Amino acid sequence: MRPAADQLGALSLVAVGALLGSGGLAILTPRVLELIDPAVPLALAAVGILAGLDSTAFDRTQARRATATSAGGLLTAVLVAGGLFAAARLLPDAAVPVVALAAVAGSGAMLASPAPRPLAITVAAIAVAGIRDGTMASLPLIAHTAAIAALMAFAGWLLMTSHTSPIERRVFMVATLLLIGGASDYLAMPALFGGLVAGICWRRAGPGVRDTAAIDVAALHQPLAALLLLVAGALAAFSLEVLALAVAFALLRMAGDAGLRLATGQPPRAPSPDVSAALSPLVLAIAPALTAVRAVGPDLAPALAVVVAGTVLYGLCLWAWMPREATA
Amino acid sequence: VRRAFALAVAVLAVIWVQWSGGPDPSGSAATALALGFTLLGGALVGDVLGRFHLPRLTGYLLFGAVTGPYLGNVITESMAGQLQIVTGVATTLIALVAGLTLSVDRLGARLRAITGFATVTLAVLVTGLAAAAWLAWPWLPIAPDAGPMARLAMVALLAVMTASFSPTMTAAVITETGARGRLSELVLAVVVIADLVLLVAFSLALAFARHETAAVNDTGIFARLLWEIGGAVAVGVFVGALFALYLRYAGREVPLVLLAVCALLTQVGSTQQFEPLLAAVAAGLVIENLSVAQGEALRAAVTRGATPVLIIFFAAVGASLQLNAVATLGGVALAAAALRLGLVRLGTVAGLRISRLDRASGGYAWTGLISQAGITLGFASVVSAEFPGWGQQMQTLIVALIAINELAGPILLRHGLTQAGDLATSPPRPLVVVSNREPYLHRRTPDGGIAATAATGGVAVALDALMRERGGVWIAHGAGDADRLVVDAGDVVRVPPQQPAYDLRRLWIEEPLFSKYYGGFANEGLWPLCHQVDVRPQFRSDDWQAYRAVNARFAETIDDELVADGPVFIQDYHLAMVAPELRARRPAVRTALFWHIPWPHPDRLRICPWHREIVSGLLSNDLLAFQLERDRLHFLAAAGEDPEADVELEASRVNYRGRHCSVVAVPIGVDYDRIQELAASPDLEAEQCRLRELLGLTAGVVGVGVDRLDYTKGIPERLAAIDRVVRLRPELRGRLTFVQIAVPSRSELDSYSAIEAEVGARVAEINARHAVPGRPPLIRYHTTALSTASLVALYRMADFCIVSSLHDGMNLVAKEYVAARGDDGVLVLSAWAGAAEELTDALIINPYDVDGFAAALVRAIEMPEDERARRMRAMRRIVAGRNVFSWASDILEGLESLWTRPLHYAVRGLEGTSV
Repeated sequence: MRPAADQLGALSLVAVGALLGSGGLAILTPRVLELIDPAVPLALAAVGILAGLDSTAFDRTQARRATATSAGGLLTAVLVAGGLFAAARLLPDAAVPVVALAAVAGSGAMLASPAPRPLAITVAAIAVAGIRDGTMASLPLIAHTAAIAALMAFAGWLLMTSHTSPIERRVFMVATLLLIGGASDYLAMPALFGGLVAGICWRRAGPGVRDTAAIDVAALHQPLAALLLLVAGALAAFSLEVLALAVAFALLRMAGDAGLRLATGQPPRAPSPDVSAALSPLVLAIAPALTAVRAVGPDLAPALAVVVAGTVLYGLCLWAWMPREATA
Repeated sequence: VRRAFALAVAVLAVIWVQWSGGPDPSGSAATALALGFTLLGGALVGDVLGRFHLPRLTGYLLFGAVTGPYLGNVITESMAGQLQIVTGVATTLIALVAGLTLSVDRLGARLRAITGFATVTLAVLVTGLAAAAWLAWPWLPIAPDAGPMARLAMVALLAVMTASFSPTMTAAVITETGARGRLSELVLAVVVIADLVLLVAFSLALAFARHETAAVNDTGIFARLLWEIGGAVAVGVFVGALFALYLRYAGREVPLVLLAVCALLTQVGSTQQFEPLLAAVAAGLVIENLSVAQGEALRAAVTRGATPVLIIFFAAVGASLQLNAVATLGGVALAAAALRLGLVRLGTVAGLRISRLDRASGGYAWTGLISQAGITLGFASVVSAEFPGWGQQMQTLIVALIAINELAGPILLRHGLTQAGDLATSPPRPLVVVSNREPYLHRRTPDGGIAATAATGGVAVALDALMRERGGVWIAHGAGDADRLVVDAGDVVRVPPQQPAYDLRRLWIEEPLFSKYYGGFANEGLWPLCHQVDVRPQFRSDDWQAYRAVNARFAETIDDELVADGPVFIQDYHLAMVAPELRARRPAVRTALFWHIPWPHPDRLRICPWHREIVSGLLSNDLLAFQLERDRLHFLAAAGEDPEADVELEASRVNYRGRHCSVVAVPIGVDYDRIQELAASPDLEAEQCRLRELLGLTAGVVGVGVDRLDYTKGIPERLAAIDRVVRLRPELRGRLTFVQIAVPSRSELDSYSAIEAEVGARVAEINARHAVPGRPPLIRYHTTALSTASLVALYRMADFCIVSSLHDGMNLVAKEYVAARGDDGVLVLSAWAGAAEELTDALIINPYDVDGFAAALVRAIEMPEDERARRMRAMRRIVAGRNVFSWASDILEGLESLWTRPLHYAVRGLEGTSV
C-alpha cells in the first residue's frame, strides 16, 4: 500500500484546485480550464483502461470474494444515494439537482469501494446515462459507446503491435487514449466506461499487449490524475448547502464502511489505492460526478462540489482515524 | 498495411462517432476526439513521408490539410477551431524549445556576425519586396487605385508581412529531425532576431498605414511596442528563472509543469497583450544559459514528449490552411513566393559576405528562412481587422503565400540541414563491440564435427540482436576449441551461423598471459576489489603487466577493424585499459564502456596499487556507464580525489587531460519479450516434465536459486537460511524442495574451488539432517548450466526464487524470474544486489542476517495469493519497462549523440538513466 502521504497529496490537489478556481483566486478561469479540457476525458479513459487491464477483476478463483465485494459495493452505493437523496430533500429550496446528486454520489462511492471495478464503472455509466436524459433511453448508447471503444481499441492494438520505437509507441498510445476518451465525450457518455472496454479488449489480446498498455498508460496516469483532481476542485462550486450535503456524504460513506465491517467481521481500512494500477480512490469517487458535469453541463456543478468536498472529508476522516497498513 | 488498416479503422470510428453524436456537439466535447484523430493520422502520414526522406512535418501538415474542413471534412470546422486552443500552447512550447537551443556559450563570438547577417539579409529582403510590390501594385488584387502615400503605407505593410519568418516552424523542423550543428544554430538565431526587428517594423508600418489611410494618429504606439517586446522579455525571464529553480530543487512531474508554464505564458500573453512567443524564447534562453544542467534535463524531457505536440500542432495548422485562398490567388501567391525565395537567397549571399560567417553552414541558411506560419498569420489578421476592404484582400494574399511557404519550407530546411551536415542521413555507423567473452563459441562435437554455441547471458543476447540489426564487428577472445578452425585469414568468422549479419573477430591470447590477465588481475584483483565480500584482492605486478598487454592487444585489434572512428562499445572490468591504448592510436575515436559490476568506494579502491591508472584509463572513454547511481557517484568521487580530475557533479562530467568523459547510470535489464514468449510456448509443459524428472521435483513447495558458483552470490548463507526454515517449520520436511543451480566457474582460482567445496559439503549435510524416507531431499543441487528455455520452465515451477548475493552489480536472475512469472511467485532478494534498487516489491533480505532471511522465506512460502499477485505485477511492470534492449539503445544513443552534439548529461536517479 502506498504511504498515506500520497492520499493526503491527492486531497491537497483538490484543495489547490478549489483555491485556484473561479470561487477562489480565479487563476483556473473557464478560459484556462478550456485549455486543459481535452486532458479530462484522456485522464478518465486512462483510469478506465487501467481498471480493464486489471486481471484480478476477472479472476475466477476470486469469484466468491468478488461476489461479496460486489454486494458490499452495491449496498454502499444504495445507502449513499438513498441517504443523500433524503438529506437533500430535507434542505429547503435545494439548488442541488437531487436525483443526479444521488446517482453520481452513489456510483462514486461504489467505484471507490473494493467492489470489482468493471461492475462499478458499468453502474456509473448507467447512472450517468440516466442523468443525461432523465430516463433510461440512453441505455442503448452505452452499448454503442462500448462498440466504438472496442473498435478504437482494435486500432490501438494494430498500432501497438507495429511500432518501431518507444517514442512512436507512446504517440500511438496517447492517440488511442484521446480517441477513446474523445469519442465517449463526443457522445456525452463516460470516458471511464470507454476506457474500461478498451482495457478489457487489450487484456484479452495477450500478455504482451496487456503489459505494454499497462506500462504506457500507467506512466501517463499519474500527471493526468493530478490534473483531474485540480480540475475537479476548480469546477466545484461551494456553498453552505453544498458543505452540509458533503458532511452527509462523508458520514454515509463511513456508515457504509461500518455496515460492511459488521456484515463481514473485517476491520475497517482505507481502500487500497494500488490494487493493480495506481488507481486513486479519490479519482474514482469523483469520476462519475465529473463525467456527469461534462455530459449534462454546469447545472450539475453543485453535485460535483458535494462529491468533491464529501470525498475530501471522508478521506481526511479515514486518514485520521483508520489504522494504516505498514509499507512492505 | 497494418498501420494503414489501423488508420482506416480510426477514420471509420470517428465517422461513426460523428454520425451517432451529431456533427456539432456542445462546448469542447470534440476537442479530445479531434486531437486523437489528428495525432494518430498525422503520425502515420508523417511516417510514410519519412520513409521517402521528406520531413515528417510535411506529412503532419498534409494530413491536416487533406482531412481538414477544406477537403475531407473528417476534421470539421468546429473541430479545427477547437484544435486551435491546443496550438497556442504548442506554439509556446516550441518557442521555449527554440530558446533552449540558443546557447550564448556555443554561439559565442559568432553572435555578432549572426546579428550582422540577419540585418543584411532582412534589409535586402524587405527592400526588394517593397520595390517589387511598388512596381507591381497596379496588378495586385489589393487596392490598385490607392494614392501615393497610402500606397507607400500599404506596400510597407505588405513587404514586412511577406518578409516575416517562422521561428516556430524552424524550431520544430530542427527538433523533429534532431539536427544539431552550426546551421541549426544560425537559422534559429536569425529567425528570432529578424522577427524581433520585423515586429517593430510592423508596428511602425501599421501606425503609418493608420495615419495615411484611416487618418488616425497612433500616439501610443511606442509605449505599446515597448510593452509587447520589453514586457514579453521580462515575463519570460521571470518565468524562466522560476522554472529553473523548480527544476533544480523539485524536479518532479516536469512534463506537467512544463505544460502548465506554456499554458500560463499563452494565457497571460493573450490577456496582457504581449507576445507569448517572445516570452517563451526568453524563458528558454534563461534556462539554457543560466542553468546549464537544468536546461539539458528540460531539453531531454521535452525531446521525449515533443513528438505528440509537434504532430498535433502541424496537423492543426494543415487543417486550418485556407486552401480556397490558394485556389483564388494561387498565381499571384506563387509569383510572390518565388520572388521571396530569390530575395532570401540574394540576402543571405550578401549577408554572408558582409558578416564573414563560414560558408559551409551559412551557404544553406536560406533554406531556414522560407517557412512562414503563426507570426505572419497574426500580422495579416491585424491588418484585416484594422482595414476592412483592402486589408482583407491583403490577408487573402498573405494566407495563400503562407500555404505555399508552409509546405515548401520544411522540405527545403531539411535539405539544407542534410547538406550542411547537421543531420545524419547515413544509416547508423557499424558498431564495434568489444568483450572478453565471445557471443558464439565453436566446439568440436563427439562425432568429429564442429558446432557453434551461442552465449546465453542476457547481455550477450541483447548485444547480438543489436549487432544483427546494425552490422559491424564484435571483437572477443577466442575460447572455443574449434574457434581457430572456422575463421578466415583475418581471424574473422561471420555470425550468427544460420544467418550471418556481422563479423566476429577473434583474438588469441596465449598462456600464461591469459591466466595472468583474466584469472589474475581481473578475477583475483578487480573482482574482489569491486565486491564487498571477505575475499582479499590480490594484486601482482606481472598480472597487471599482462592485463595491460592484453588490453593493448584488444586496442590494436580494434584499430585494425575500425573503418571510421567508431562507435566502439567496450564491455566490463576486463577491458578498463583499452580506451587509452586505442586513443593513442586513434585520438578521435568515440568509445563507451559499461562497467557491469559494482564500483567500489574510493577508500576501498585505493587498495589497488594501480587505481590511478585504472581511473585515468576509464576517463579516456567518452561515455562511462554504471549500473547504479551509487556506482556513478563513487566513480566521480574517485576521479575527483585521485587523479584529481575536474569533476562537474551537476553535469555528471569529468574533464581530464583536455578531454571530457560523461558518467551515467543505466541499469541493465533482461530480454523480457523473449522470456515471455518462452513462458507461453507450447513446449514449456514438456520441458517442465523433463525437469521434474531430472530434478525429482515431487514436493508441494518449490524454491529456486540460479547462480554462477561464486563467493559473491551468498550461496552458503542461502543454504543456512533454508536449513533454519526447516528447523523452525519441521512440517515443511518432505514438502519443500529447493533447487540450486550453481554452475562452476573460474575453478582454477583458490577462492572459487573453496566455495565449490563448501557448497557441496553444506548441501550434503543439510540434506542428511532433514531427510524424510520416501520423500525428495530438501536441496537439489545441480551444477550443469541450463538453457534459457529450461530456466524459464524452472522459474515457472518455482513458488519462490532466492537471490542472496553478498554484493552484486545488478543480478539478472532476479529480473528473469519476474519476467518469466505470471501473477504468482515471490522473489526473495538481497539488499546488496543492484536489482533491489528497482525491484522494491521483492522481499528484501540481508543475507548476513540468517534469522531475518529465514523469516522472509517463511513469509514467501505463506504469502497470500493477492499479495503475491500485487507484488509480482508491480515488479513485472518495472522489468518489462526497462528491458535489455532499452539499456543497450540508451547507451548507444548516448554514444551516437557524441558525433553531432556537445555532451551534457544530467543524471538524477532513475529518471536520469536515459542518456
